[in-house]
Amino acid sequence: MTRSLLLPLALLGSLLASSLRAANPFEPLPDGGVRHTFSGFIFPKSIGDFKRIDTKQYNNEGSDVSAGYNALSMVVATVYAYPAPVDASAAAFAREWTSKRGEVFQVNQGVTALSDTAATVVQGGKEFSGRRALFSFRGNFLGAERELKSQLLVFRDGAVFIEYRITYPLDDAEEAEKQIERFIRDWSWR
Amino acid sequence: MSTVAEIESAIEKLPPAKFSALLAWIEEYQAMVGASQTLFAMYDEEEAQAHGRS
Repeated sequence: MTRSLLLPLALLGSLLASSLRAANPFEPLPDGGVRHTFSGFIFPKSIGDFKRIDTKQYNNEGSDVSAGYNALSMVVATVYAYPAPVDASAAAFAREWTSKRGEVFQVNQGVTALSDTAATVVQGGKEFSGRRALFSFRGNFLGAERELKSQLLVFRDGAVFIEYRITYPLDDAEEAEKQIERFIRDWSWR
Repeated sequence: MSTVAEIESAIEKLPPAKFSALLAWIEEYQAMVGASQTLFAMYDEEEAQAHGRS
């Protein structure tokens, strides 16, 4: 390849990379939901009292995304869909779970682990197995320092991991946890 | 209704009581969105460490 061709090709590559990053990874749906084009996973506009207030893209390809939800300023959740490794073994899932669970302790101070259990969700008549952990710690919640409860759930759905991170004040835990169960149960992923 | 101009025009036609209700809703919504950002950032920081995101 001649030197004269290298510069135009480099420019073309740069433009392509820019356009990939700019590409919207979410397809809007008539009901206000958005579909993650990479995985087909749907982030609804609302579920019960949870309203979607944010979406994010973390890589050029748009394969790694999230949506943020808030329920009556009592529960704040982010749901992530991101590529899973080709290795679909239980060991691969266990590694992912250990990594995700560990980061809750890394990022937050004074975290207490309350539970770490198997979790299941039914989607389209199919049962998905995953893990669920509950934590408590003190942190900022909607502008005030509060005692908090926080949940981490991870499932694998084909080529992607689905992760829920959910936090709410300890004082509101009873009502918040009822809403969270509905949020998880009533969400149709596809 | 899809443009800011159309929304502004509709707001101008609101009676005072409905305008006040809309203003209260916007303030509440803005507070909810703003306040949620702290937790969204915390979750993203966890993700960044787990995935090595920048």
